[in-house]
Amino acid sequence: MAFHKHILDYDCKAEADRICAFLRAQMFAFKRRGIVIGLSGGIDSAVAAALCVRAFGQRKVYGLILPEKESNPVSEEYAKLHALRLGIETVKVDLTPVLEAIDIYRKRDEIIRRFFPEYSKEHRFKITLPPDLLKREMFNIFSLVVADGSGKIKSARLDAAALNGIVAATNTKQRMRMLQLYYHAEKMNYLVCGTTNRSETVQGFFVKFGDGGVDVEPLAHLYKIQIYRMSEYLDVPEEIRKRAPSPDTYSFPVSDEEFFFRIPFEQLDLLLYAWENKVSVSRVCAAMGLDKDQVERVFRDFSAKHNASGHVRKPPPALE
Amino acid sequence: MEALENLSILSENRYNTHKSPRKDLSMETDSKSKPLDMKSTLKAFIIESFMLGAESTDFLDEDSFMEKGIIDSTGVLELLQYIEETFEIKVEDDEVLPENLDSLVNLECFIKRKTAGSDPAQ
Repeated sequence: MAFHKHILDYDCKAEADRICAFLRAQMFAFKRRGIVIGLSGGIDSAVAAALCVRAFGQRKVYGLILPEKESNPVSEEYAKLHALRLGIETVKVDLTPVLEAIDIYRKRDEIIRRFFPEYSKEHRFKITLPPDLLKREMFNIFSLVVADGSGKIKSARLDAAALNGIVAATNTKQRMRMLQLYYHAEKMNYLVCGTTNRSETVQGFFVKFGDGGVDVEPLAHLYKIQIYRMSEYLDVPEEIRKRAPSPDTYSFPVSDEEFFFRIPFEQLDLLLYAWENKVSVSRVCAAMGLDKDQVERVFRDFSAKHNASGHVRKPPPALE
Repeated sequence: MEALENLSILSENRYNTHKSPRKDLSMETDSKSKPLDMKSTLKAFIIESFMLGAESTDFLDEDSFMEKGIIDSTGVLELLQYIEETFEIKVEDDEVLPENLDSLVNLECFIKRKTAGSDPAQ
């Protein structure tokens, strides 16, 4: 099949119309009165919100801004900016009290102190995967990275128990957002709109029953670079379009590339398309200027992530 | 990456669901009371830890754990902890590579290289 650097180019207007028709069909099928969307200040929720307004009008779209104490302050600022531009009603719910009430921060910090006993409220932390998947073969092993108040940075390889503990605590933030979205949606008889894109869906970069717990996913067929194209078409604020994609989950800012994908989106999405469509390695090499080892290494990474995350994309298995 | 500081993973291990005290290989035996070799010990650990519920626990020494779906990335961390504790070696971050860890053959070669390198008699 054909494969080239512009294979993911598309007609944004036609696609926006198609997505809006899909949203309207789902609204009618669900028999709901409007749609609720979590506004993270990032590009995916900005595009999804704009499409919802295009599909249903301002009065039928309700935005939730759901920060917690470790969220980047610009997330709320950008979310409000875009909501104002769209003319939709929003409400902010600070998740910090409920997360503290279930002791998530303390439990997670205890794990961090196993590696860095000096870790305190002046410190910030994140977890990252090895960078540069195109340059070297390494397992997807997470490292804990902490910065003290003076900017000194240390890192340590996590063990399985520590990683699981930190991920469980972190995923609770996403699941708490899901609770808020469904509370407001059900109260108003609205749908909950998802914001996961294809690059994330295929590789399992979303939280089971967290940001994956929604009624409809209008962006799950679009690669990240296609989301960016759509954001330009929909006139999403420049601040949001220029912002580096981030899970915005850790006190130390981390990009999506550092945390999960290990490759810049410009290359990732083309490679992902090639992997999904079984484009030959040689054809990918020729089109992207990569060598065989690089492409095969990335394809192995995609397979591993896709296979490990099958349960996140499917409903729970059951006997017939 | 900087080296671990003040690390005490091996003590007060209340977060570890997998208990893996240092194993004296001379105590590992098969059903006929013969000591297991390194490869058999590793294989037994992998089957016990990662293949719960599997229809078959057969795999070849050369099989890639990742490609066969035997171990995922979290499992690699558990495997690392096991081999560090059991064989008293330290796996550096730049050694966490498929060529060292992603099959029984690779594991055995890697551990033997590491233990030979730390042997004062060498």
